[in-house]
This record gives sequence, C-alpha cells and structure tokens, in this order.
Amino acid sequence: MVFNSIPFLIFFVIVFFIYYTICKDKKQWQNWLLLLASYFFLGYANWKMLWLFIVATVVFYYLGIAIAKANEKNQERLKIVGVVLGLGLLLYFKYLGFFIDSFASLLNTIGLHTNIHSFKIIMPLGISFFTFRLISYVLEVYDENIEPERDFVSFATYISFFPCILSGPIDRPQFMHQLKAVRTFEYKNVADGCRQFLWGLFKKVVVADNCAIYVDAAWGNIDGSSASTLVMAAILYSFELYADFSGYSDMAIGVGKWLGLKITDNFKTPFFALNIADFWRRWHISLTKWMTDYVYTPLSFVMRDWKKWGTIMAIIVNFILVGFWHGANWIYGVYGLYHGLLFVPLILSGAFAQKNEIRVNRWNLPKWIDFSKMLLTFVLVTVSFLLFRSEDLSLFGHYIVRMCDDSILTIPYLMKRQFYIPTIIAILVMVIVEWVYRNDLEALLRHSKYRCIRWLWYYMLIIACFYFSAKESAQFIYFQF
Amino acid sequence: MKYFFKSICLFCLPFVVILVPYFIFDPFKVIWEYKSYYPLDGSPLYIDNNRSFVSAKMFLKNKDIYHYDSFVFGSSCSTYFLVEDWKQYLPDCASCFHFDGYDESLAMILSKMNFVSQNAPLTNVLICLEPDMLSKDQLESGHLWMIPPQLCGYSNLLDFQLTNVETYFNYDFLGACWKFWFMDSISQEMIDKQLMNILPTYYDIQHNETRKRIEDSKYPDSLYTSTKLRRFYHSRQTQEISCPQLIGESQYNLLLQMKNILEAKSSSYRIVINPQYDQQSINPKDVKILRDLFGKHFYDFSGVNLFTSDYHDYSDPYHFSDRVAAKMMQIIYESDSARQQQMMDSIYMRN
Repeated sequence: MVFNSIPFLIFFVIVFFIYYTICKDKKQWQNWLLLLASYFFLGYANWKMLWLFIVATVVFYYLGIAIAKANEKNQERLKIVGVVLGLGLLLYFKYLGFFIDSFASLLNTIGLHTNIHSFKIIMPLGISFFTFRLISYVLEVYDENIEPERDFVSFATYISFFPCILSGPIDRPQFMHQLKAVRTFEYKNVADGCRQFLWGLFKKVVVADNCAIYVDAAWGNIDGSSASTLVMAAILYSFELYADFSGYSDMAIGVGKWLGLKITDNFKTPFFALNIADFWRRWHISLTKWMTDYVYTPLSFVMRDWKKWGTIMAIIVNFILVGFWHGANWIYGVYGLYHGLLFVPLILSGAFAQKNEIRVNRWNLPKWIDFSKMLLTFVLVTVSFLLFRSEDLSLFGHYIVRMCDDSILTIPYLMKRQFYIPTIIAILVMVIVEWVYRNDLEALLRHSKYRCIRWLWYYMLIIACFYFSAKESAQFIYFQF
Repeated sequence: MKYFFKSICLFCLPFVVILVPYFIFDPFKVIWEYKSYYPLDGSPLYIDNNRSFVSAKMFLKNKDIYHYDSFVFGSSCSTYFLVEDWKQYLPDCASCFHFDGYDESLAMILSKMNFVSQNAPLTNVLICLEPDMLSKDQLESGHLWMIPPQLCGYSNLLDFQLTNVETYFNYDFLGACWKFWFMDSISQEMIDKQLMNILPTYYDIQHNETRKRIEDSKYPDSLYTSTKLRRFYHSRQTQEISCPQLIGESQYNLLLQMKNILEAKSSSYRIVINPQYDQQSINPKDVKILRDLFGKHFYDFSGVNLFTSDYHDYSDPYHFSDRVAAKMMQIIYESDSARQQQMMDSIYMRN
C-alpha cells in the first residue's frame, strides 16, 4: 500500500477519523488504533510475514525489560543477544542467499565446484527498518538512555509504525515518549502535514517517476545512447533517487503530523552539500545518525589510538556497512567503500568535523566558491549513484566508458517535448523551492500570508501531480483507420 | 477540527465542480444504467466506451429475454462475422450474441467464456483471433480495455471506476468534453487528436452487434486516400513470412482452459485465425500446438491467400470486410470435409 494510492487514502481517512473522534482524549485507544492500523498496513503488503513482526516485537519487548533488571554481566550478554537476534533476522532474510551465492562463486573461482544453490527467501517488506529499530531499542536501554518500555502497545506501535515501516525514517526509541500523551487535533500540525505530504507527492510522482522514464530508457540501451544522453541520464538519476526517497519521507512525515506525531527528518537539501561529510549530514539523516551512533562512534573509539587513520578506518568500515545495508550485492559494498574513501581528504585536511555554512551573495545565491563545491560534491555523489544503479561492476564500468565517448558533445536525446519540458520544469521548481526554504523545517512552510496565493500554489502542485505524473498516454477512441 | 474540514471542503470545491458533470453526463457510461450504450439512430457515439464492459452489461440485461446460447468472441475484427451470416450455419433456435472487445487478449476471452458459461449455455461458439493475440496472456489496462468488474466478481470495481475518472481528468479530454457538453461543439483539433469518435454508429441491441453489411461487400475507393495507401498498404514481400512463435507456457494454459470449458459445455465451436493484410502467417509451431489442442475445430486463414490479396477487402491492415468473414464461415462450417479442403486449397491457390 503506497501513500499515493486510493487504498491508502481510504485506509488513512478511516484511521484519521477514528483517531480524533472515537479515540479522542484516550491515549491508549489511540495507541491501539495505531498498532492495529500498522499491522493491517504490514499485512496488506504480505500477511504471511506478519507473524515475524509480532514475534520479534514480543521477544524484544521482554528483552528490554530483562536488560534493565539484570546485573551488569547479564546486561552485556542480553544486549549481545538482542543485537545478534536483530542482525540475525536481517542477515537471514536479506543476505543469506547472497552469502551462499558468493561462497559458491568463490569456490568455483578457485576450482572447487560445488552444488550449493541458494534458496529463495521471501524478504519481508521493511525488514531493514524494522530490525534497526529493534536493535536501537536494545542498545538505548542498555546504555540507560531510556527506560525499558512497559507498555507493550506503545512499544509495538513504535516498532511497526506504519508511515515509516516500509522506507523509513528510522526513528529512535525516544519516539515512544510521544505515545505517552493524548494527541489532540491541532490545525497547525495537520495543515503542515498536508503541505509536506503534497510536496513529497509532487517530488515522487512528477520529478522521480518522470526522471525514471528517461533513466530506464538510457540504461536499457547503453550502447545505443550517446555519451551526452548517458551523462543526462546519470544526472537525472541523482534527481530521481533524491526525489523518490525524500518524497516518500516527506509523505511519511506528513502522515505523522496528521496523527500528531513527530517523525525524524530524513533529508535536508543534500544537493546543496559543500563536501561529502556535509552530504551525509543531509542525506538519509536517520540512517547516518543510526550508523554514527552504533557503528562509527564505537569503532572510532576502539581505533582511537590510530588517530586520523583510526578515524579513516572507522569511516570506511561504517560506509561499507551502509552500502551493504542497501542491498545484498557486492556493488553496494563498493558504493559504500567509494563514499568512505571520499572522506579521506577531509579527514586528513581536518575539514571533516567542520560545520559547513553556505555563503550567499546579495541575490541570495551561493557564492562561486561554494557553488563550485556543491557542484563537485554533486558530481562525486552522482558517480556513486551510478554504482547504485548498476547490477555489477562491469556494467558500471561499461557505462562510465560509454560516457567518455566523443559523442559527449552531441545534443542528448530529449524524448518527446511533452515529457522533457515538464520534467525539467519540475526539477527546477524542486531545486528552487528547496533552495529558498533550505533553512526552514520543511518546504512550503507558510510561504505567504495570503490564503489565495498559498492555495493557488497548492492547486498548481496538485494539477502537476495529476497531469505530469508518469503514465502511459491515454487513448480515447479505439482507432479505426 | 471543524475549521480544518471546512477548509478541506472549500479547497476541494473546484475538483468537485469539475467532477459534477462527470456524474451527470457519465461520458464513458460506466456509472448509470442504459437501455442501449450506443445510439440507435445512427448518430455518432462521440465518446468511446469500454466495449467489453458494454457487452457484459447488455448480456446481463438481455440474457433472460433472448436466451443467448451462441457467442462470438474476439477483438473488433470478430464484429465482421455478422450474425445474419453466422445464423445460416446454426440451428434455427440459436440466439446469438457478440461478446467482442477492443484489442482483445487470450486472458480476456477466457474471462468472458468463464463468465458466459456461468450464466448461459455455450451451445455454439466462434472464437476469432488475430495472429498477435496468441501472445497476449495478460489483461490490458486503460479505460477502453480493462476487464469489466462483472467478469471478475466485481473485485476491481473501484479500480475500474477510478481509471475512468482519471481518464476524464486528462487535460485534452476534459477540455473536449466540456466544449462538447456545454457548447455543443466539436473542433477539428478534437478529431485530429482522436478525442471524439464522429463515425456513424450502427447498433443491434439483441445481438450486441456494432457492424452492418457494407454495400457491395467491398470498401469504396474513396476510403483509400493517398496518405492511407502510403501508410498502410505498402508493398509486401513476395515470399510468405511467418511470425515468431507466440504461444508459450502461459498462453498454452489459457488456450487449454478455453478448450476445457468448451468441451465441458459440449459446445459446437470453431477457432479461427483471421487473415491480416500484411500476409504474415502464424508460426508453424503455433499451428501445430493449436491443431493438437483443438483438432478439426481450428482453422488458420493467416498468410498469403485470396482474402489478403485485395486491399478493397480491408478498411485497414487488420479489419477485413464482412464478405471475407462470410466466406470464412462458409468454409469452416462446410460439413463435407473433402469439399472443405477443396475450398481451403482454392483460397490458398493450391492446385
């Protein structure tokens, strides 16, 4: 059930109505409703795997309580059990087939032919986000940052909260504090939620889905496309990935606001980053923070004696794991390694931990030096996204080689006018709006005090979603020649 | 909360205003019930509708009146198999119904056969396939082609209605509709963009037939403009070309299910591969599969033959004339097998 679908609309209208009427002023009822709605949402995607979420939730619920009650030695053991269980779930469903295939390939490479075959494991949707929440909870309880949650409903709601379960953001257990109070209807929150949802929808269906048409066409015909077309596809893919992911996050955060719950931000105009460190503070923020707190920080502590080289090693390991988190394929590991290596110059120069402020000129545009840094960061990141898009290194290499062809100076294939003009305009609108509102909590935040102007803007976005969403052109008469 | 709902209602007002004419005029005729979904006075339809949906509706509406037991399935080409000609080969008590659809697929034909077999006897069946239909194992999407809710237990009712609403909101189409409804005007642009269908309509309610016999049974010369000739009737290969094999596992399963229904209902049936003007024949492997499956009930008229030699028998490369259809029926319903073979040889110019 995706956000931009009629089933979700029907589902959410029912939940919203019950939440603020029948469950009004009753915190526990609201939590129960959210839990049931979340399980329905998960079950709609795949009801056969619902048992896994419920069982894992129950196990970790009791694990959290046990950790708080145990002595120091047993706390350590229970923490390890929790982390191993959580990672074990992830490893089994997401990576087991990959490990088996890789092991078999390795044996075949050294001349030991095997009959090992990987078996198809159905990966439950949202398993990556779900397990990270479970692991995060156990670690936070162990570190005594939070008390173990005694209310199972609150705990289970946090673990499986439906706006975030499929694609994040990855909220921390502190999210549960919000479930301890009644959520009353607040016009401001709901209106903000509508704005954010609409903005996310625009990014997803207009920018991302239209870019995907061009990108898929180019990737489907690398040899037949000119270098300039492949460069254009690479650039559009960066916008596609950002618009798709951040659009979904915006919609999730908007849904959270409708329910009176704050969901952590996940993107903060990453294409305005001045360097790679700045980029990762703005891109998939919830994952970056999670990995920083639970992987990078402990690793850099362990390797602290190696000084800068320790930091470099920690960063590289951190990002390799970030890469693999995205998928069970060596190419994701290379993606992570690539990003880790990009940190090396920053760490060695000492610029790694520096706060980055964009300097603007009198027209509120970035100064040339900062603009060039943004451009460089964008190029470096775009190359990494090509890794992400490729199924393997050879395809990535082939794409790069074809991009360096002498047809780089030709005009790229532009598809039909009714495609590329709206797409380019949509990208420009997205970039301009996000530039103008880069320091605000979210885009479209009450940009005009006049309702008619605000509403005109919203109507334009809705119309754009309707008319420029990527779909096959309609045929109206069964054409008889 | 009241203020929020008031704001939402006010905000949605323009969309509601646009939607109201949709419910009043029902452009695709999917909301309200109609005695006939096509004009009976020969006037144009203007806004095309989902042919399969209309066929399903008319079948359910009239099955208890006319007691249908004889059905033609296929795409728009099957409409040239006129009931008037078909009835000659059926018992006097046969009651015929055209259950055709636009751009039909094997999956859709099977759905229709399932649906009909639950509601009426399948005494006589004529299935008319184009060569490319043999590959179509999926249901089509789009408001003109998607499976009607009646054929799938109403499980896609919401999706079906929303698809039509979404089509209505198409920028060009919406403008054309409003101009047509409120200004009673159809511009050349609407016709050029194929937003409106201005061809005269023929419709026989009883048989759900949208085709009548052409005068002289051949298309007039005036139909063949130089543009049309250049676009559609290009020179053809002298040697017969056969299509690549189209029937795979999923298509075979669909055909097998069709056969099972026909045999379970003890139907008298014929399966015909229609002749296409491009003269491409279906792949010999596909011919073998179909012959093994359907035996003497299967007839292949694809490839180079007398039907496909004269473009006056085709209004376009796919749609032949009723004369061609009548001749095909004469062959497939010939009871003397020797005579039948002689007729086939004659069509294929085999001596």
